[in-house]
This record gives sequence, structure tokens and C-alpha cells, in this order.
Amino acid sequence: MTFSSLLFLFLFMPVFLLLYHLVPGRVKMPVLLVLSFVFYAWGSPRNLILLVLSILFNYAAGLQIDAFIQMGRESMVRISTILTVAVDLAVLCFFKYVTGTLPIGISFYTFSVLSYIFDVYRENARAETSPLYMAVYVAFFPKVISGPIVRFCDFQEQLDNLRFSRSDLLVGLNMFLQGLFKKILIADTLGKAFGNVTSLSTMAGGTAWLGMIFYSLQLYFDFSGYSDMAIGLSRMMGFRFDKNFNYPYLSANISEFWRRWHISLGAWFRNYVYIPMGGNRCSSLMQARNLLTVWVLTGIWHGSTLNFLVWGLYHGFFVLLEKFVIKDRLEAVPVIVRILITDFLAFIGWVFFFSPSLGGAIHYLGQMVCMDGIGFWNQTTSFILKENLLLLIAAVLLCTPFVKNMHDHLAFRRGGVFRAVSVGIYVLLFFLCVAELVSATYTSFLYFKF
Amino acid sequence: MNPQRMSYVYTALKWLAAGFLCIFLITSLSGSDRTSGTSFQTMKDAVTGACDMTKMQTADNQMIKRLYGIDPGDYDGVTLSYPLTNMGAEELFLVKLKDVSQQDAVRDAVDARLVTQKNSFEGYGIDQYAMLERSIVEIRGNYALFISGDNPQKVLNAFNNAF
Repeated sequence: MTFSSLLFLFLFMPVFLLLYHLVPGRVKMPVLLVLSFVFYAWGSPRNLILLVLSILFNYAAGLQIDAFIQMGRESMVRISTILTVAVDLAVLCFFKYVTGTLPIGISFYTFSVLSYIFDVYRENARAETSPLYMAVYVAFFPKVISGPIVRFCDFQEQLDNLRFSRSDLLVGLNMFLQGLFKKILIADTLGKAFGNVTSLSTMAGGTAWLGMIFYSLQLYFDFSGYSDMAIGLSRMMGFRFDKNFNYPYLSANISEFWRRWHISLGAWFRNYVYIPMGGNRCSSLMQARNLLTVWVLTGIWHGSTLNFLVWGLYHGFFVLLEKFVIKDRLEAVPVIVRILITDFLAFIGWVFFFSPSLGGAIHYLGQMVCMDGIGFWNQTTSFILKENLLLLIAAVLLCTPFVKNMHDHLAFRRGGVFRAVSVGIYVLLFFLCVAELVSATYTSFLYFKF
Repeated sequence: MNPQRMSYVYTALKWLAAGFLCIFLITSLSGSDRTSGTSFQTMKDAVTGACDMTKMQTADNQMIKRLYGIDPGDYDGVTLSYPLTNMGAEELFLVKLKDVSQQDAVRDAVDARLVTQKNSFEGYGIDQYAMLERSIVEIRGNYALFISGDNPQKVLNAFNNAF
């Protein structure tokens, strides 16, 4: 089931929210778990068996590690942790690299259970004695399929101090709707434009550039839209998670881009790979090794094909370049130029990301420099640009906080008629989304394949 | 219970779960989600070779989008052969998915196309309707097949052999 389906919007979500808020406090978690399982199993019940086995395995492993810690048996703590992590990674790699068929969400929930094991091992969190709470952490339906990847110690803290107020429902609903608008009205429309480009057997250079821009914007609105919906849904239950995207296309360098894009994945690698390896508290050579390790892992986490490895190394290269070669020299360049350069580099990187293979990526990059031999601009390029110009302008504007700030200023500070207009716009956009969902064929989220 | 004894219980539970995980992985290798390493061209040759293609024409990407509402660029390979005339119901649709998460999208697209075709012929195209009733939709791992024709089972066999 996806958040942007009629079934979810008009049946699952209202039924869940009603049940969750009507049942007494001690029944909330069982309700949440059962409906999380229903949500996850929808369309592919077999995958639920794997999820439950993973929960059981890591639940027992966490308690085992904790028992060894209490007994002061350090070597057993280490061996048990290593074996647990090895099994978790082996299961992930089996599906990612052997069968090639990924049970939905496995990359995300594997990182969640690894977070649990690492937190227990490092004594950042106590081992969870309640199988119910452990299962809720892993299977929590807003995040189980595509994140955000919430650290166990943070989730446990929220579970211990779960509070809910009416404003949580409103703030959460607002976030959820914004995410829905991003996905249905912007990302899916950009996806159609990108599809029109890629369906061409030959294309002018300009057309290929437009395709790259469409995809780069689509990916942002698709994934950040999903994250907004996930965080909004969580908020409607009283859980507060940090945002997963923070206007990444306004970053002034690649390092900053990755502090603003898929923030929870970056934080996971920082907390559980980069810092344990020594982080930046070591020699430059070791820092470079640590950073490259993170970028290789980030690349292969996304996919088994060579293009993802190259994509990871590509970003790792620029991060290293900024850190060790360019350093502060970038400061002299006007910020708008730095943003444009960063976006250019990030957009080029997405070519490796959307191409099915490394050869496909190189072919597409060749098309961008007119290797198809039909020049840089032709009638098709003009047609595609003209057809999508308004969409592009809207998407670029929405990549900045301008529209949100203006809306918040008018609706919340000035209030009155502006607030009524804001409600009217939300209702209108929601109806547009529903109309689109009724008429359109199913469009999945881009990050579901990871 | 003291930590020593608890560690035995947790260790047993952990490796029991690991054992079930192993069984799950082994069964995954032979399950319906198992993907095929067969290239799209090989699969296409196998299914078109088992099918009478004389009553069909090959669709371009725009036509695939129009009839099925899917974007061929989203998949590793898509081919569609559709009837030469409006009175035909023969159709061959083969898709190689990038990953199994795309199965639902393709299944929905094929179901929608089949409903449209059945509605077109219901009431007056008895033979065509019967052909559509006998049509086969097979979605297996990273491949999806829809075949409507005189002998859909023969095409399905060719598909299964090539998979």
C-alpha cells in the first residue's frame, strides 16, 4: 500500500487514526503494530514473514548482547554483535545482489535493526525487553517502506514519552497534505515529462538536459513528498521526527547538499560508520579513507549495478575535493554561483542514478553533448520546454522556501481572509490530487525500489 | 533469572530465528518472485516465436503509453504487438521489470487494458470476447506477459521455458 493511493487516503488512514485515537492508551501500540503489519503485507503478504523473522532475530540478539554486557563478557558482546550484523547484512545482500528481487522496504528496515543493535552494543539505548515495542520500532508503517531511518535510541525516547495534542494532528495533517501535493501534482507530472524525454530513441542535446532537470526535480519532490507524508503521519500519532530534506537544491557545496538531502541516511552513515571509523579526528589520509568508505557504501546501498557505485564515488570525490583541495577558496565565489555549481554537479550525478546501467549513463551523458548528431536544439526540445515551462517554474520556486514562507506569513501571521484562502487552496489541491489518482495509472515512489 | 541463564535463552531464540531466516531465503530462490537472467531479446524471441504475429502490428512507445498508460522508459524492456484492425483482439505484451516492486503497476495496467478490450467487444464480438476470456496474464519475477490469441497456452509455455 502506498500513501498516495485512494485506498490509503480514504480507508486505511481514517480507520487507523480513528482506532488509534479512540482506543485506551495501553491498546494503542498493539493497534499500531497490527495495522502496520496490514499496511506492509498489503499486496505482498510473503514479505511480512521476512519482516517478522528479522524483528524476532534482532529482538533476541539485542537482549543477548545486553545480557553479555551485564555479565561483563566483552569478547562475547563483540562476537555476538558482529554475528548479528553479519546475518542482517547477509539477508540484505542476498536479496540485493543474489535474487535481485528486493522485498519492499528491506534496505530501510535493515538499517533500522542495525541501528538498534549498534545502540545496544554502544549502550546508547537499553535492549528492548518488550517484543511489541521492538516490532513497532521496525514495522512502524509511516517509515517501514522508505524511511526516514529513525535511530533506535531516538525512537525509544519517543515511545517512553509519547504525548499527543490536537495541534499534533493539525500539524501532521498539514505536513501529510503538503507531501501529497508534492508527490501527485509535482513529482508525477515531472515524471511524465521525463518519460516523454526518455521515450525518444534519439534526442538533441538540449532535450537530454531537460530530461536530466525533470528527473532531478522529480526525485526531490517524490522522495521529499514521501518523507513529508511519513513524518506528518507520525506526528498525527504524537511521534516527532526530524525533517528528511531541507531545501537541498539551495546548497552551496556538495557536502552541504548531503546534509540537506535524505538527512536520515546521511546521519545513519555518520553515526554508525564514519564516526566509529575515526571520523575527522584522525590524519587527512584516514579521513579520506573514512569518507570514501561512506560514499562507496552509500552507492552500493542504493543498488547492485556499477552505476550506483560510480554515483557514490562521484559524490565522494567532490566531498574530498571540497574538504582537502578547495577548502575555503569557495567562499570567495558568490553564493548564487556556488548553488548553481552544486546543483549542476548533483544533477549530473542523478544521470548515474536514473540510468539502468553504467553504459546507459554514459550513453545519456553523450546525448547531452549532442552525440546523437542532431544538434543541441530542435523542434522537439522547444515543444517539450514549452509544454512544461510553467511546471518547471513552479518546481524551481517550490525548491526554495519562498512559497512556504509567503504562505505561512499570510495564513498564520496576518490570518483572517488569508487563512480562509489557505484552507480553500488546500481543499482545491486535495481534490486535484484525488482527481489525478482516480484517472491516472498507479505511480510508485521512486525510492521504493531501494 | 540471572543474566547467564537469560543469555542462553536469547541465544537459542536468536539462532532459531536465524534458522527460519535461512529457510525463508532458500525458498525465495524458487519462489514466484525469483527473477530471470534471460535477456529481454531472448524472451521476446521466445514468445513471438510461439505466436501468430501476422494479425498484429508492433506498437511504438507512444502507443504503449496510450494503450497501457505505462512509460516504457521505466522498465528494462517493453514490447507490445496489438491488432492490425479494430476488429482484432490478438495482443502480445511483454515487459521486463527493473525490479519486482513494479509488478503491481504492470498488473494494474494489463487489467485495465483487458477490461477496456472486453468492454469493446462485449455484446457483438463473440469470438473476440471469447479470445479475451481465454487470454493469459502471467507476472513472474522480473517479467510480465499478457497474451491474447488463438493459442495463449503455447506462448505461456515458451515464456516459462525461456524464463
